[in-house]
Amino acid sequence: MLELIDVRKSFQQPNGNQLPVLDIAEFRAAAGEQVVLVGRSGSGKTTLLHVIAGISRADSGRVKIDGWDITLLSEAERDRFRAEHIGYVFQTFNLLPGFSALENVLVAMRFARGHVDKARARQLLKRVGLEHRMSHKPPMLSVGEQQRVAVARALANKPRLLLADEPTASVDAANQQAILDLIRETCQEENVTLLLVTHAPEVAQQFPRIEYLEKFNRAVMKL
Amino acid sequence: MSLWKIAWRSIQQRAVASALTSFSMALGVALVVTVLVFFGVLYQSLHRGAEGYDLIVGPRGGTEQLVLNTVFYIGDPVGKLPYQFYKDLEEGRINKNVEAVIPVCMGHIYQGFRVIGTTPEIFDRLTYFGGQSYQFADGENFRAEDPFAAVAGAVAAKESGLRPGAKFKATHGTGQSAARQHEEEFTVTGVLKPTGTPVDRAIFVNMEGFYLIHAKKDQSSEGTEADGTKAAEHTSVPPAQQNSNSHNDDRLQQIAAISATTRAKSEAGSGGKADGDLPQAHSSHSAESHSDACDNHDCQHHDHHDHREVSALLVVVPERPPGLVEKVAFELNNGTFDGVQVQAVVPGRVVASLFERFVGKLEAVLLVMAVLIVVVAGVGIMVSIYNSMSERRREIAIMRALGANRVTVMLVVLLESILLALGGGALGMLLGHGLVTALAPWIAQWTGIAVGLFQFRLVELLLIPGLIALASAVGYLPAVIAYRTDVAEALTANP
Repeated sequence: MLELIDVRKSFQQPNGNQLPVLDIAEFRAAAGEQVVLVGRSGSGKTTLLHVIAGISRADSGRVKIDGWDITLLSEAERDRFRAEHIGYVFQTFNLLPGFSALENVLVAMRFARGHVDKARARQLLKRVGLEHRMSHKPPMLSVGEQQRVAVARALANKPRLLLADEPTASVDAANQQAILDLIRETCQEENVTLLLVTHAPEVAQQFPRIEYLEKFNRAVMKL
Repeated sequence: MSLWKIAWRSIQQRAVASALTSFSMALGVALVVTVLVFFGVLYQSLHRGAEGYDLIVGPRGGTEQLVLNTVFYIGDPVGKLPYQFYKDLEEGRINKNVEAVIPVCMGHIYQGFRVIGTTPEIFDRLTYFGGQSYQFADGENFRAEDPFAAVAGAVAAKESGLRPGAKFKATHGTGQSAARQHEEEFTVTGVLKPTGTPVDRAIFVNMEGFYLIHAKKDQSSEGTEADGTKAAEHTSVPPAQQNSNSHNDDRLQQIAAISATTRAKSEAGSGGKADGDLPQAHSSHSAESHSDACDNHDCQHHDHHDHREVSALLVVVPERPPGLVEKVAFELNNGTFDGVQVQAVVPGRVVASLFERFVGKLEAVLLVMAVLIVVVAGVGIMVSIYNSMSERRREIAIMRALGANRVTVMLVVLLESILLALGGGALGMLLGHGLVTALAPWIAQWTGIAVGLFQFRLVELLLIPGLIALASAVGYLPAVIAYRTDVAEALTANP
């Protein structure tokens, strides 16, 4: 389902030199599989997710999702592909502050399909336990609730792949496990491939497959 | 969820800044609307005054002066036309395609309001603004047989306190040259309802009264007025009637009777009815002079008309066939009638030309200034959105991460700009029309035109595409910033 081959990504430093961040020979994840990527800060976790999501373009290599090599797509095509096939849960939730919980979910639908499915948006919010908070805007929600909205939003367009970037890092301890359970359960229910990055061992150990970025990202290995 | 709603949510997020920028746009648009409506009312007011008749016929001279003086009672008359020309035109001897001819004699004022000598037909035969008949709020029209009767326009009556039965003395001259008050009093028989035309600010008297006043003056001053103006400016009295100062009052009565009898004969084809309508004293006097000096009377009558003069004539031409007005005007402009050359003008065209040349330019200048204010308000919108872009980079990046492409986020910013401009524009239109409505009583008093909250001018509709174009232009810069936002960088930056 997800396949990375010889993916390289580097950033230009202020002195003009290139700083390699990703150099991945090969990485695969099957459909419906739940994989956790563990890496220390600066190991390229977020960059890897951005490259997979098509937010950033790899310098070279191939990134295939459901058979589609997104490195061959134009930026606009990658935007559309991302909207339709990939869900993204951010560490800092990244909800739109002026929109209610329901509207945050609907916005994702609008950008993906051009229209919205309010029934599904409500169903998702109900699934994450926010049926009574749908009209509340992010500042009126707790951090745990905000991350639940972010999970519902990520699943709005029935994605084939869910990318979660340290989704529990900004959540209080009481909510960390609940959020993690929610993400894993909903992905399982919707048969969504989950790729979750974290630096927390207690999170990683709950996954059946654990990958350490330092082990397959040659850019980090060289550091 | 439409892009409009997404843009609206962005506006709501910065409610105070958005409201202020939108309000500045509202003030600019309100100014534009106010200028448009005011000049619309002015244009309407000017045109109303020139409706109800087809041609103004006057002495050769300035066309605009003729219209300004005859329609708006501004300035001095171009000159004078012989009374006989008026009678010849009225009775079809000059042009058979004339339906009605109303004479006007200028040159007097009362408490700042023009006093115009005319005939009662001005209110019976003429109409105003779309064929409306003149109506009297109080009293009735003056009668031809009563030379010292008058009718006051609505505003003139209100401000000068004239009402039916009130008497007033007209002052010779206009404006600063008005220096000498006549002794003879006119009696108001009626007050007109407001018309929204210059008629509201004028007083109309039987022009026979003017002729009588000046006949008396001619006798006392031997034909020369104190200000150097010849008494014949308004009248010419037969020399036979100017000989005896000792019998002035008798002469006046005699002239009044002759004048009324002549008019009655002229209009009804018989003197019987007019004689019967005259006051008893006048009737008897007339009868005497009529019987013992019939031949002389005819001479006097002709002589009397030969020396009388009018300032201009309001001419009504039958509606059909089309083009008849132009034909009559052409014939009058190109003919010589007993040595008299006249000009005939279509008042509406001259008014339109005057408006374009003078008022139109003022309107254009004010509009340009108002539009500049709108543009400045538009720049305010740009600054507001531009300043918000740095704090919105993350928001834009989130939208992009959710699948919105560059064009979509650019559109959202443009729509935000358009919403602010249109919202401000809508508020501005309400404010502008509200201001006009608040000033409606004052406008109605001066122009007679009732202005309502929804007194729209079609040209106001141009504000909508204009504001959209302006908003798109000023929203372009921040929209480009949104377009160029680096999603990965914005997402990884500290919130």
